[in-house]
Amino acid sequence: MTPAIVRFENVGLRYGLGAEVLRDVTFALQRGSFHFLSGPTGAGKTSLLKLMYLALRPTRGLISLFGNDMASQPREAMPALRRNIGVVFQEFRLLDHLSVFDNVALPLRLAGAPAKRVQDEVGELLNWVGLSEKLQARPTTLSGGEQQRVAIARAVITRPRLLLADEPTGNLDENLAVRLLYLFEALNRLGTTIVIATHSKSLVRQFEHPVLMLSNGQLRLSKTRTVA
Amino acid sequence: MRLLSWWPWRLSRDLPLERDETSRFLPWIVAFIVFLAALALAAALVVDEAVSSWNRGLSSAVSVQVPPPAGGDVAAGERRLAAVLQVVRATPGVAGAEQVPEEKVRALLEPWLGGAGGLDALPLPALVDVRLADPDNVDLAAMTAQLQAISPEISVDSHRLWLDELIGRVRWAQIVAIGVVLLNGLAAFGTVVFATRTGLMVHQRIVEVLHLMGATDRYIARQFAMQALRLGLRGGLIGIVPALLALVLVTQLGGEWAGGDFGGWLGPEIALRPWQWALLLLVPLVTAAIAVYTAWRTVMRMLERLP
Repeated sequence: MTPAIVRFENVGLRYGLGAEVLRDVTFALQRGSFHFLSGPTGAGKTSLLKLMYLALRPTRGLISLFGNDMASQPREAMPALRRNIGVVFQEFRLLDHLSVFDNVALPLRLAGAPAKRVQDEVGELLNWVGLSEKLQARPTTLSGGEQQRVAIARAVITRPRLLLADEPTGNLDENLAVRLLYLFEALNRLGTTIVIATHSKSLVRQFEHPVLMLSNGQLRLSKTRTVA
Repeated sequence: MRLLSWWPWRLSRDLPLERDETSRFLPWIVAFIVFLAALALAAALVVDEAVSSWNRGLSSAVSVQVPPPAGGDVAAGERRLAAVLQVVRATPGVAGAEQVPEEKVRALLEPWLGGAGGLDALPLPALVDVRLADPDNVDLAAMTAQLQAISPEISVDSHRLWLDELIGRVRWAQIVAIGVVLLNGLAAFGTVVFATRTGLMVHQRIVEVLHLMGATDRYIARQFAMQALRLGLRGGLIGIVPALLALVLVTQLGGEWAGGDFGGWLGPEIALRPWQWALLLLVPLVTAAIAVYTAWRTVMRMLERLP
């Protein structure tokens, strides 16, 4: 059996000496799966995503990514693992001193892609998200929605094996949100495992994907399209 | 191609380090450090050159004073002088020994003791000028004992004694100068650590994003190191130019003093050899190298704290 792309076993997380924000979280995501991550504000969605994109280490429990036990991975192996993960941050985290083009090109350049490939793929993707006219614009001159599209383009440009998005459609109108979900589905069909944290019940209803429900730091998997 | 990618102006600049406040003040601090270090190093080199010169010129000479025997017995005096010359010439490491002509002794004493009439009445000692072939390996104490066995009044005047004392004092000045050079290196280190940490704090958000996208610690550290190289070289150039101009001026004035009315009263001639000028040119390069290494280590250590 193919190992799960993401596996959590009894994972707990606390910040400093505070109470646990995640408790006994256990789940596995198979290659090519598509999940929504939902739950009320403060339930721990962002913390769970941070554990998945290796921005945090768990306080307890085991995390396995792409078949690798994270606890036994040397620190030198982490950058290569991170390059397999695309992240759309809630607050975008675009680099304001770089142009839209350079922001989107950054993951490709970090992966050592040749200039021709960078030029072609970044141009194509920015055209797809409707920002072909703003290649040289700085993120600070863009609207919230435009910034979000740049952040999404940056996350998917390397066709990552795992794509994690924290409220990726929060600043987009409904049409664009649906379009971007179609982009995520297209990537998903190419084999990318996707987890999208969202508050949008309509989005979850519209797309037929299972929901990881977080409540008070504990997780349960909902097979249905309905959101509690 | 891989080597070319290390060239500081070809590297990617994902971090806007050149816009930092530190980019404005760091070159000036480095310039000041390089200026002081270059002058201190030049002082140490000049002192070293002076000590070598004194060693070459004075430590290879010894004078022996042979007082005339009591009663003015000329023949006894000549026998005593002959015995002294024999002992001195037989001493290992001595290249030669000659009696200083009496006229020259009189000429030396005239300014203090008056004209020739006064000196004629005085019993003048014979002076023997001894040239040492190997000053470090001449046993002057044994030679002095042998000479004083001929007559206890015979004295050996070695320039080594006062020269050693003088060199000892001057060497302290040299140690202080080298200490200043090392302190400047330490100051460069501390300044770069501070500037790099500040840069990391200012750009923490960008560093985190790069880190999460899979940038290696080396990739991030290289950008800080290359920025330190750019600023270090810029500051080094700003500092070394006035330092070299000041030294050229001092060496010119030193040459004029040495050849002028002062006649060397102001100390040894201040001059640097070509290799010493080249060594001074290394000061900004070494400072830039310290800046690069320090920035690299500082960033690598701080990034190790990230997961």
